[in-house]
Amino acid sequence: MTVISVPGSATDTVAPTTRRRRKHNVLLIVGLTLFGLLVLVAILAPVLATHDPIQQDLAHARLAPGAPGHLLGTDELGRDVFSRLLYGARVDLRVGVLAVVSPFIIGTVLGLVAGWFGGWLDTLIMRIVDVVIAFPFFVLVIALVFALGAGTGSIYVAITMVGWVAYCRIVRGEVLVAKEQEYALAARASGLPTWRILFRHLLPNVVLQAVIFSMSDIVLTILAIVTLGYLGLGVPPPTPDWGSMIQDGQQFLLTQWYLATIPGVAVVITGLALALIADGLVERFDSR
Amino acid sequence: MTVTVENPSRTRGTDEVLGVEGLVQHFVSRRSWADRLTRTPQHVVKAVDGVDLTLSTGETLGLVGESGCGKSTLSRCIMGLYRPSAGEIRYAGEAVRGLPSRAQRRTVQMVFQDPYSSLNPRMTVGQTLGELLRYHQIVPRDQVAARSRELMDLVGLPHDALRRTPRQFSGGQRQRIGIARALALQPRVLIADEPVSALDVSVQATIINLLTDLREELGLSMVFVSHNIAVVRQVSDRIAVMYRGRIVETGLTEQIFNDPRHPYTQLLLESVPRMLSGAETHPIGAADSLGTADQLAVVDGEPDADESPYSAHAIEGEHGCRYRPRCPVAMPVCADEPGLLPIAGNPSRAAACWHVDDDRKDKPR
Repeated sequence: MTVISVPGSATDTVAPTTRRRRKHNVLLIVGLTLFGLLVLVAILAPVLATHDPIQQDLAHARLAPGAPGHLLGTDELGRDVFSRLLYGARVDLRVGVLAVVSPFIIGTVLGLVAGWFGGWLDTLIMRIVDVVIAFPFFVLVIALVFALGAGTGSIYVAITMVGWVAYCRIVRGEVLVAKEQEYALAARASGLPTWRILFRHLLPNVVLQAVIFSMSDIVLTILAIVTLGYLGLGVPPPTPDWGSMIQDGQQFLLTQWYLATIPGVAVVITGLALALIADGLVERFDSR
Repeated sequence: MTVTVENPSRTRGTDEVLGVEGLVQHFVSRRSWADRLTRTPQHVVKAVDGVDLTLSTGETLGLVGESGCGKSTLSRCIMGLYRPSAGEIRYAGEAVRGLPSRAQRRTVQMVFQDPYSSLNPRMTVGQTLGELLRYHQIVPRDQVAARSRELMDLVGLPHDALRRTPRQFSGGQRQRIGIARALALQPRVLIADEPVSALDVSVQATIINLLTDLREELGLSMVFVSHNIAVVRQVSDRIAVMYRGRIVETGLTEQIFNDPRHPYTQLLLESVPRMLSGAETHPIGAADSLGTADQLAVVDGEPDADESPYSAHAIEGEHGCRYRPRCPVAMPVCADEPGLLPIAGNPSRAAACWHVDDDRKDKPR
């Protein structure tokens, strides 16, 4: 779950005009349910798993799904795919969400500041953004992970250093619009301090687009980890994650297609859940 | 040269609650490096170009003028939303340095034009008011809720409005909330920037009545900005007519309406559409020969194109009377811009026109 709350938006009284659409926010309910299930599965992985996910059993390698004792079969080293999938959810969801939280916070704050104050501060921040954007995403991330050394910690740092620019741009653009709105002028006219206007008045009104982007960004981050794994810079083996499962399974695509497909479906379901949440949030919170 | 206009001592107090002297607000376009290399001249918009104003306790000043003449910029300057390029603003006799301090903010508050964008959509009415009451320590913390309910009573909204968000209100109700927000700080001056122009005509009257009632009840002074002459006439004690960043005529409401001296004021008054009941309207200027009766005044020159001499705001590199390009009675002397000239025998009036004391018979009535 994301930890972003939108202050002041939860009300007991609901206007007649908005009641209908809030009651039937199917997108949000389905999305949250799906994502909640995924999180639950990740948390309960030790309970639900039927095997040790890194226990090799070469005698029973590459069993098809439905084989006795192995619900989704085994991989080329005889490890239980079902158990690896559950433990993979732990790794991928944790890294995906955590690697989005810090770029989200950093980018949002810098975007707020750049958009509100303008001038040289805006120029400075946006030039840095331009520099970061000028490099292809993976080139920069790979270079950073190399410099920092492989491991999940480096992945967080590298993705944060590259990922904040998207949030910064989104939020800055929204602030440029919002600060000309009369409610922002009114807040200034009533003498409220700047930080308070920024975080209490502007932030709740501009953060929605960033939240929505973060939903798809989580999926992109999981895919980035998959890619890094491919280059040997991702989550170190034998820790199961969906990326390395896809990577390991792809060499058997013609014979055991399900080895790559099953974790692929898991990524797709995660993406779907987050996309539904994003759409649901738009419906729930967009006041326009 | 500008002449400070004496405020007539009506029955109300004469002490100054808001003063503006020589206020200038120019906006300079941002120059890119390319502009600097090619020596593209900077584009300066003189939104407010030397304004003097005095507002007395309990007085309502109507500020009129066409769109883009600087009314809103002037009111935002007074409100302390811009740092003025030059000039002085005084709140209750105390000069504002740069932007108003937290304490000074309480003196002057504003009612905004657009009730749909002027309230934070993510905050309930109670949160909006409570924040101000707490931050400015208007009342002790345990009385914030009670004071919020009082404010709702004051603007004629039910108490449960405090728990709702702006989205759940109509335009007129939102404007009431906007007024409550302005009153939360217990200001002495209320600046109403086109407070009703975004509202349905049927709702406009109720909001204007509310404002005039509150003014009496709380002893407020008010600057009422509008392009709607009829509305301004209804609420104002005194009127200032603004044209391209300057005040071109000022006087008591009825004086302005009965005897407009500046050609622009005349144009403005003639432009108000009214029911034709045999009453003739004349084109402005010397021009019985130019137009026919039973027509609205002919406005020669649209205030739109940015660089045109007809543009609503003044631009750099101009000289002479700013109304000259549109003026039907321009003379050679108008190459010098007149300040606000006093009108003989009437200390409360002034007009920025060389014709100010012309015999009235010279002009078409």
